[in-house]
Amino acid sequence: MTWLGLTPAQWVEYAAFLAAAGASLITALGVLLAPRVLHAAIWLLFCLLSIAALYALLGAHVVFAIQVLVYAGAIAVMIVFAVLLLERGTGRGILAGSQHLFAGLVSAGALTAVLVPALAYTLWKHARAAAVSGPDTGPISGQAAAIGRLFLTRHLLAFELISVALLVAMIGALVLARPDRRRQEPPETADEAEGQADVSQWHPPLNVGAEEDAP
Amino acid sequence: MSDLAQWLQLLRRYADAMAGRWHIPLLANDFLAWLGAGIFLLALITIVSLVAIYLERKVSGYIQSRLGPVRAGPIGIFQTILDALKLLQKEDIVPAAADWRLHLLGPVIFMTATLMMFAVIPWDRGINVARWLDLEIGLLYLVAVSGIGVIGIVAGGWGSNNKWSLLGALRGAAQLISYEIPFLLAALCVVLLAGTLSLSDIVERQQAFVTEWYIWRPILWLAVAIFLIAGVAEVNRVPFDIPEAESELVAGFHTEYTGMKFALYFLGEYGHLYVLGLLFSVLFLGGWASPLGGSNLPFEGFIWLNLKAWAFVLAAMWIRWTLPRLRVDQLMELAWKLLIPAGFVALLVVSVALIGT
Repeated sequence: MTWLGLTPAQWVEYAAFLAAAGASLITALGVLLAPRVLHAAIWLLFCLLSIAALYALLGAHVVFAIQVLVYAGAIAVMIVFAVLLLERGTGRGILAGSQHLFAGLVSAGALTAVLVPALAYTLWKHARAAAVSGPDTGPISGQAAAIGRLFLTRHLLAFELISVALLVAMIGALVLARPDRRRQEPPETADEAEGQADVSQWHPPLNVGAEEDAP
Repeated sequence: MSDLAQWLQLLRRYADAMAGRWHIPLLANDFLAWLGAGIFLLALITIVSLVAIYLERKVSGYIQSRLGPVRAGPIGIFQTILDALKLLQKEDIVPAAADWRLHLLGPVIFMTATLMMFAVIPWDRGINVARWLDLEIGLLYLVAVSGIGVIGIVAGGWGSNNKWSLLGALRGAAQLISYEIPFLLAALCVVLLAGTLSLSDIVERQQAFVTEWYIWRPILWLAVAIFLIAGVAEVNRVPFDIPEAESELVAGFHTEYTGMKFALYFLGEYGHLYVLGLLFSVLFLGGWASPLGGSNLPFEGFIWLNLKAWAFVLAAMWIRWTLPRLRVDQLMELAWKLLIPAGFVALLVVSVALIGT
């Protein structure tokens, strides 16, 4: 039973693809156009989830799960958390919208210039492979193990470099967050000394009640 | 194949035959099967929450030397049903200054994340809602989806535009991000030992006999302890309920919620607790495997899995009504300075024990 050359299952797949792709485009627009940063962050969450749906449709289940775990579950949550701390913690709103139109256009153009040839090359390679040996429709199994093996063999260098980059980012964040002790000038008055002591014992705003424990 | 699987297959064959008679395309029949699974899950979560809330009140009463609900029905068993009916008819109040979109989105995301976690739970041999997911990445998927729930807490807390809600949301975000790491590390120990991410396969590794259950392996005991502590923290229950801490924050992130939206948060929370119980049984207690050896009872696996999960739920209630609440900084210290290093130690112990096997 086919209709316009496609079986019902294929029609459902197309419909699901169109829904996920459309959702990712609309939510991406939402990220750009939302007037408030927190709204943009929630739009971003849905954008990342609809891209995860695209991965699932492609049969890349591991990539799908990693996308949900890392991007939606960790990065989007971190962005939301940072917005909450900054907006309400400092009392200043974060500007949303495009203040850097030129830089944005340049980076978007550069990204497109990289992505379009890469996509075209992949499509061409697959078309040639399909012409030689027929389309690749075999079941995909054991993806998690295969990906893990590739990480530890063929892509070991890239894998380790990413780990080092993450470590650098973590140390950088620690250095930025630490109160700077070297630049502190000796206190001139008793009041100032007290003020500086408070800075060195600074706790995050969440730390309600921690002061009682401080020695 | 288990009885439940045979029964479902029979139902499926009957449905396919009916579809043929009524000229319904088989695809629509597939869709109906998915719809049925969805309705089953919703009904299950509702019933589980009703029972869990009743049990919670009875257990707390027992622990505090009082009776708990007694008025509605024999020993008060209709109490939570009546409470649910009351919640259904309550007015849906959105505060005037609230960000109504986020206020609406909060409970919806929270409940959806909980519902999605059920997709890979193996109810019996060969039975779960999303087989294609369970086949290779069941555990990864479950952990990934459970991380989305925190967005529901944050969206609800921020959207309410209330200082208690906002503080609760901030605490919830910080807590859930922190406790996800030891939770994952503990689950990873089981993955290392079983050599698979599929929840069904993890159960298959333990189902031969009671002594095969992973909870009897001493190298996993540290992981069991971490899983229990981090699991209770993941569902925001006392001693880790600082996002709602009623003595400090009124009701935390759900202060401004009434009626069905409040009920959604409640359903999500108890559903999450139950799914954690299911996960604990799958990882450590042999899942659907019967400790008495196989028998011919119908739905045997489903019943055993539920018994084990409810044991976990009862233990969580026991903990809740026994321990006092931690302070925010103590909570963070417990996660980052104790549980995460302990998680790495547990992972190391299992890895070393596996060398040469």
